[in-house]
Amino acid sequence: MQTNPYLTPGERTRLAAATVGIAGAGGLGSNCALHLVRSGVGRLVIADFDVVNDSNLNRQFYFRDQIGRKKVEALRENLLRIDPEADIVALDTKIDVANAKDVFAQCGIVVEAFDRADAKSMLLGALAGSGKQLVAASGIAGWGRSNAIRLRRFGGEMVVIGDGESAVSDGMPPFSPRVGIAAAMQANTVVAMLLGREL
Amino acid sequence: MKVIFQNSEVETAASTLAAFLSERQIDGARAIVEYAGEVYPPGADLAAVELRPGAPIEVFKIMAGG
Repeated sequence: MQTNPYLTPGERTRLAAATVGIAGAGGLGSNCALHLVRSGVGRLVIADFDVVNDSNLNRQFYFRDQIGRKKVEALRENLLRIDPEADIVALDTKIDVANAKDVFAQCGIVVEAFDRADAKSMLLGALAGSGKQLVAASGIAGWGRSNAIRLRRFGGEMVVIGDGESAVSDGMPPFSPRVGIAAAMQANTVVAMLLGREL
Repeated sequence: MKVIFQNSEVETAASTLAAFLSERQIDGARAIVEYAGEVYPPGADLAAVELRPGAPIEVFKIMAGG
């Protein structure tokens, strides 16, 4: 990995030694993952069962020639183009209450990056109390209102990024910039957790 | 009794956190609830959590989008 010259050796080591889970490889997960790889996080465990389709390209970190491929495989390929030494564990699996703890057993931090509200809720419920730091997103649809997207802490283990009110709907689509802001804030939060700085 | 919901005082007939959310038509399976210094994740069992007068309740709904 091309190291960030502004980091201390100790900071680089902390990032490189980290294993971060990402549940979902859509708009949030794919963009969060690229920020974490660029930041020097050593190992990502990414789980998703979906394939890349045309409608994903408006906000997700995929390319037209990857349509039809499994998202986790395409994402791993894209992330390795940024850092060939990154350790990307790509799991083609659907996360549920029964397997969530096992899938992310090695991860001290898990990023919730699903799109459906029931899946998001399931993951938070399944991993709450497990000792892992959870970084979720809720309320990221539409455009504008950048300052409404903020970080909220719930207790010592749960953080949610979003405006808390903008759900995806017919008049409120997911849009690249706002989803990207939230994904970058999730990655920024993970980096801060790893380096011990203010979230 | 009166409780503090989202920073505003409201009257409720509920005696538990689950009943309070039901009264407000909030789906506890898709919300994070903060009450009396505790955080309850989506789907937590709120039926056994008794409400106290004046207690602050914060609800953050989980919404689609990703």
